[in-house]
Amino acid sequence: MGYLLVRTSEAGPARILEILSRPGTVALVGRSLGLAAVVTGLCLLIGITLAALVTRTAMPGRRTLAVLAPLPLAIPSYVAAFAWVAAAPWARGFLGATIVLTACTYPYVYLPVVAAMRSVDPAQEEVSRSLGRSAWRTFWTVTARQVWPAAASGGLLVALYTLSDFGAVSILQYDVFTRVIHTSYTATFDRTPAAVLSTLLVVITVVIAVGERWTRRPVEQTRVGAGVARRAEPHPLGALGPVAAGAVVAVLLVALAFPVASLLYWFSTGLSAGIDTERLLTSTGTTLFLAVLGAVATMALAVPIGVLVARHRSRSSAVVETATWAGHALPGIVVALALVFFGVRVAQPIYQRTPLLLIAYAVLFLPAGVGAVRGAVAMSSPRIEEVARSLGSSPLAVLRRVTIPLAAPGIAAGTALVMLTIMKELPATLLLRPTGANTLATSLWTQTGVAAYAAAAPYALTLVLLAVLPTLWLMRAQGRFTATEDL
Amino acid sequence: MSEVKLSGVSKAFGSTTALADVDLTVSSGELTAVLGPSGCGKTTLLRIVAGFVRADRGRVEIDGRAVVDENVHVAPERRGVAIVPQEGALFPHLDVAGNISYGLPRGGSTRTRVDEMLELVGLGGLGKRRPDQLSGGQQQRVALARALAPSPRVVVLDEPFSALDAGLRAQVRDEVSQVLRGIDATAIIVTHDQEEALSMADSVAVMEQGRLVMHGSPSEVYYRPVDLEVARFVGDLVELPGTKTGLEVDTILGRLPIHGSSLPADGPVVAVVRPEQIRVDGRVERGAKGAHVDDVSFFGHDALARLTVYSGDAPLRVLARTVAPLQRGDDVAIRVIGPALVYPA
Repeated sequence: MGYLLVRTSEAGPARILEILSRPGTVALVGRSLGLAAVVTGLCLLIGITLAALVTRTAMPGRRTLAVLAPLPLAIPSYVAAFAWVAAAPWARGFLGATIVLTACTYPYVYLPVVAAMRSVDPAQEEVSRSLGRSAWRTFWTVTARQVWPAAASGGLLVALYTLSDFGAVSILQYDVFTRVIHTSYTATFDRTPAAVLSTLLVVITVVIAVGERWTRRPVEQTRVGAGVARRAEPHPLGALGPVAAGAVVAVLLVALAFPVASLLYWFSTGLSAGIDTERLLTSTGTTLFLAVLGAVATMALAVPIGVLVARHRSRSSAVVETATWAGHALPGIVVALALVFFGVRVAQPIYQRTPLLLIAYAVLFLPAGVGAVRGAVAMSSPRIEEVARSLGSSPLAVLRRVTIPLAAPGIAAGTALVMLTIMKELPATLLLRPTGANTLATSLWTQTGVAAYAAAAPYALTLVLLAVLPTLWLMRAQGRFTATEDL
Repeated sequence: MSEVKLSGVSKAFGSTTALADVDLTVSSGELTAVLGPSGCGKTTLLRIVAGFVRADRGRVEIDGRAVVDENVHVAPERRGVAIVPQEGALFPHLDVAGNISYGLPRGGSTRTRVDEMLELVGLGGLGKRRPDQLSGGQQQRVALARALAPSPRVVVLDEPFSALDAGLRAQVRDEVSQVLRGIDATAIIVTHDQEEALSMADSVAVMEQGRLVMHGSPSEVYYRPVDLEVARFVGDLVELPGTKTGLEVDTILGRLPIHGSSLPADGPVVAVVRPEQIRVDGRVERGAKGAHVDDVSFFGHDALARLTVYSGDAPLRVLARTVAPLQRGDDVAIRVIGPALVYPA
């Protein structure tokens, strides 16, 4: 942020106005926002619908589909973009970007909504049904409103991901902020337009984050009452069941089966040329090492912030929360360049070493962690914490003995999510990785850099397989959350 | 157990006054009910005592030591005030034993104490259960055991029975009240249920719109309410317009003796009696009035009859609690037993 401000303020107001009022800038804003809006809308629709189908209905095969639905999260958007461009050259521009980004990010909505739906007290739905509302209207007026905070957080992640995505839009040749910023950074010596555009992007992000909080303000309430909800009876779908299952399968074919099949095809093509096994193994090791360390560092910051924003809603906590989102909206490449600037000038000893990269990860992925912690903390009643205080626990002891154990599933899910995202992260890793180290993502990028997609496929495939692990962990963490309610 | 003393406690939320200058003393080992309609500030009072809400003004002492005063706000965990919230709020991640031992110091004789508390609330052997495997009444008793385990100086209960159904409610109420008396606990229970307050408590504090309007024994509150509002709130009431002369009042149901200390001046007043003071007879005697039975609610042990007295200018509606076998449509004679209370008209 500081870097951006320095760069932007050096430009002077006239220059800033000039850059902002270029017709190209306005069109750029429109394109970026349009893409983000369409992708977010589609993700909310797909994520909420899938979550409702697997948690609330007797759809055929719902258990299997529930497990498969979040897996597209394991596919980096640039890998999916490669798969699409290679197989379907028409899928460039807006359409391709929409398909790829929606397919890769709807799990950001799906996962938290599934968790929220499982904890909504079915008694409220029963009340609504008994008051004469159909199952359908009950879903939209009661259930959907209750899970809205979770869905809104997920939607915010999607919107920010879309705004800051660089790999996929580059491959699909759709000009949005990040691509123009990148071109501007790399193609010219004048970095002012890029800084001004980055600042504009940050401003847009803050507006979106504030908007998201505004949409959930009327419904966000901490749980009061007996705390433990019964499980809902699955709703029979009748003849619509196979149709619904078919629709879910179609989503999974596009989001999961197609990119994986494409990778396998390229993998088998490249097999004849041989694989650099040693490099593959060291890249895998580095990826795991950085992901675990980065996730631990990020969550160490996310837990206190998440608890703070869930429990002490005030102007300052709102600012802290919004500030964390700002980091996420910055394209990885901007954060990376800002940290290069910081590393060279201020923190020379850690420049191009692991700690600086971990700082970058924390800046980039703090919101994912904070969102998970905040959601989990808000689900438990503050009355429970008051009881703990009245029994002689200090606020810190309450945090350790009550708040965090209760939020543990959310914290675990957040850790898994951050780990997953770090594995897939490309631009910041590329610029800040310790000298000589290679992760799966950077190896993949170098290979595609020399236009050898077949040679890149092993890295892409390993990355996807590796990323499946935290994805499964993510689902398990949420499964455990609901399992305790079944005991 | 300890004495709790509130003096001049005030609290406003924005422009809404929750508490206005409340003075209340709860004696050591006494169970005090704070009774009032929804929104009268009683829960705020309780949360100020427990330390979850900061008073704007006033002083709260526990055992003579100020926990709330100007520039004093003792943290909730240092007050020794254990709270039993509505619906229990058990820790869902801990089993019953884990919940009860939460406030106990580490090590020591934790297990003995947990077993002791389980026995006390009649849930022996259920220590390994999880909160969601308990019924509502059991959850509430675990919440009480959890509050009592560390031997707090004061226990505060916030509408603890409101989530229970009527049958269970009376039972759990009796059990809780026995447990609290058994260990001489100083307890404050907040409720909007007059029956609960009158039957459980040693003293009842009646609140209205943030003010403490009366504090006395259950029978004082019931038989000698300080004003008409309190009289109406603590139980069913028969209101009779009348004219006071000296220590008597003339009403449509005859001349009644007056009971009470601070009396209004002679002249028009409202005389009130309780429905159980209305005696219903089959025939009209001297001194009795004729009345028509509009409706009867039968409870088994007695019945509540809604009657209309046709006499004077306007028909007067009267409630009578009676064991007489009345039916809707009967015409009966009624008279008042015992003294009436009078309030300014």
